[in-house]
Amino acid sequence: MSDPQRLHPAAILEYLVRNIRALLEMLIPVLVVLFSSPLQRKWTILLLLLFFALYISYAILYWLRYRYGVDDEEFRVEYGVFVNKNIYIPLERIQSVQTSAGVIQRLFGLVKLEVQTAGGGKEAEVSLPAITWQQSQELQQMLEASSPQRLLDDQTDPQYQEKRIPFRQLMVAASTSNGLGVVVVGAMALISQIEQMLPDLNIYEWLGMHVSGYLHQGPMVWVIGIALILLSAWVLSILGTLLRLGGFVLRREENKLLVSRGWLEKRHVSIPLKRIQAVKIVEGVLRQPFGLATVYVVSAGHGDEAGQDTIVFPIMPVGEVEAFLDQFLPEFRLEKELHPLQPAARNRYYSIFTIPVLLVCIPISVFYPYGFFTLLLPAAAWLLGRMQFRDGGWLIRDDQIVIRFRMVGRLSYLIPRRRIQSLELRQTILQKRKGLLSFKLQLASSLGGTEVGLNGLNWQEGNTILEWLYKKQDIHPTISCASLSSSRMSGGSQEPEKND
Amino acid sequence: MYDIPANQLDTRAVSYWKWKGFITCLFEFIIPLGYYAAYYFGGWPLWPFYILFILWAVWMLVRVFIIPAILWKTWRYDISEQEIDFLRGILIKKRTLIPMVRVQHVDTGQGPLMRRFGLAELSISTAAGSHEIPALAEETAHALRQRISVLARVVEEDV
Repeated sequence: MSDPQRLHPAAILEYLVRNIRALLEMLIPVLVVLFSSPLQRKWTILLLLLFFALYISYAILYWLRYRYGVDDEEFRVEYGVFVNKNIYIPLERIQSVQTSAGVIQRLFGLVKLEVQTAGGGKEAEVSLPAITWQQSQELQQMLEASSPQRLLDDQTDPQYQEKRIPFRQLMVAASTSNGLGVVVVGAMALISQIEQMLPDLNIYEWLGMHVSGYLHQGPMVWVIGIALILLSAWVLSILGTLLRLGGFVLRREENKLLVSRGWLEKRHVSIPLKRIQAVKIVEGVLRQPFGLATVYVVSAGHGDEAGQDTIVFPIMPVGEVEAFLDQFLPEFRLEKELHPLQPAARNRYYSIFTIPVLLVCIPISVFYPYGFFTLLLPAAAWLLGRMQFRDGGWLIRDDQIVIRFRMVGRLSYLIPRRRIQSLELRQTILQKRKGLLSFKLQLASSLGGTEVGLNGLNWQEGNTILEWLYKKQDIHPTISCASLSSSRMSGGSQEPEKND
Repeated sequence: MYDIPANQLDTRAVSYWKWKGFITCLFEFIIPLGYYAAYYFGGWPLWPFYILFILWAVWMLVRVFIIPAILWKTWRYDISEQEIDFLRGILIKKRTLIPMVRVQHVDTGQGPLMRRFGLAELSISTAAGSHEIPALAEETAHALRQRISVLARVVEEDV
C-alpha cells in the first residue's frame, strides 16, 4: 500500500470491549478452578493480572498491525497478530459503505465504517472499528468515487426531499412496537433458564413472592406477577425502540435513499434505488387500530440490521403512505382496491388454525380444572383466520403487483415485475377439487431470498399472474428468435408464438 | 393450469431413484435396529420392534417400487428463451416459472450413483435461491446448461 493508514487508538478500547464477553466466558471456568484449588490467593491474582496484561498487549498489537488504504483500484486491509491476513476488494465490487457510531466511537468523536460487497452474508466484509470523521470522509470519497456518499447531518439540505420523525410519533412507534413480544419471550426464556440451572430456588414462587409480596394467595398473585412482567417488558421495548429509531431522518437523492437513525448508536444507511426489490408496508397488530403503518424496503445485498428489511419510515398514518411513496419512492404505487380471495377458499382460512388448536384444547378443557378457559384460543384462532381471509388480496397494474396478506399484522408488498426472481403456483389435492391454487413470488433480499404469496386464487387468476410475468419480459432487442430456434435443444420445444 | 410443459426427465431417472431410495432405506434401517438394541440391552418390550420393522419394510417397498415411476410421470419442464418452467409434485402440484433474465448462474452436478446411470442434475440459481431439475441425461444437462448460460447472459441486468 502506498499510503497505509492506522485506525484511531480508540480501536484498542473498542477491541477490548467487543471481546470482553468472550473473554469472561473463557475466564470464569478458569477462575472457578483457581479459587477452589489450594493455590494461594496471591498467585491467582498475579496470574489474572498477567492474563489481562497479555490481553491488552494483544489488543495493542492488533491495532499496530492493522493497516488499511486504497491502492491500485483496490481497497486493502492488512491485519493479524500471529497470522497475517490481507483483504483486497476491487473498488468496483464495493456495494455500499455505511458508517455508524457506538458509545465508544462517540466518546472520541469517531465513526465505524463498514464496507459491503454483493453476495456477502450478514456481516460486513470489512469493518474499520474506529476512524476519525475526516478519515471516513476521505475514504468514502475514494471508495465511492463516482457518487460520494454524503451523510445526513442536522442541517437540512434544501436540494433534496427529507422527512424526519416528530417526537410524538416516535413515542407512539415505540409504545406499539412489536419488540414487546420479543422482550416477553426473552424474559420467559431467561426465567426458565434460571429455573433449570437452580431448581431449588423455585424461581416462579420466588418471583411471585417478591413481585406481589404474598405467596400462597391463589391465582391473583399470578395475574399481578404476569402483568408486572409484561409492563416492564413493555417499558424495555419502548426504550429499545427509542434508542434504535430516535432522530430518524430519511432523505431521497437522485439514485438512492439515505436513512439516518439511532440515539446511542448513530447509523447511516444508504440504499441505492436500483437495489430496492420491493416496498413493504406493515400494519402491526397494535398499530392497525390507530391506522398506523411502517414502511420498509426489501433490498438485495444488505439490510438495515442483520437479515432484516430496511425501515424507510418507522411510523405514519396509513392514509399518508400514498403521498409518502409519491414523494420518496415514486417508482412504487399503492393500490386501494385489491382483488379479494376466492370465496371458495374461506373454509380453508377459517379452519387452518382453529382445528389444530381445538384438537389440543378440547382434551385440556376436559381434563384440567379451569381448562375450559383454553377454549378461548380456538375462538381467537378462528378470528385470526377470518381476518387473514378478509385481508388477503392482490392486484396487477402495469408493471407492478400488489400483494396484501396478514400474518398477525397486515403486510402489503409492492413488487415491480422485473424484480420477481421466480413464480411458483401450487395446488394441493384439496385445492384442486375446489379449483383453487396458491402462488408465491421469490424476491432477492438481504436474507438471500424472501417469498411472498397468497392462498386461495382460482386458476384463471393463477394464469393471469403467470402470463403477466411471462409475456412482457424485457428481452434484449438484439436477440432474434430465429437464431435461437436454430440452436434450440431438446429442452426448448415450446413455441414463443403461442403465448401471444 | 396454463399448458403443460413438454419435456420429461430421462427414463433412466426411474431406476436411479429406485436405487437411491433403496440405499437411503438401508440407512434408515438404523431406526428399527436402534430399537432392537434397546430391547436387547435395555429390556424394552419387543413388539414395537415388529411394528417399526413392518413400517420400514412397507416404506421401502413404496419408495422403491411406486414413488419413482409416479415422480417421473409427474415431473415436466420447459426451457424457452424467455423462461424456465417446471411442473412437478405428486400430492401437491407445483408450477415454477423463472424468467430467463433473472437467472444468475447454472450448474450441473452428478453424484457417484448418478454417474452410474449417466444422469446429471441441473441447478438454476436466481438472486433468491436455486431450483433443480433432478435427473437429466448427462448430455442434455450439459447442453441445457450451455443454452441457459447463453440466454441468461444476453439479458444481463442488475439484480
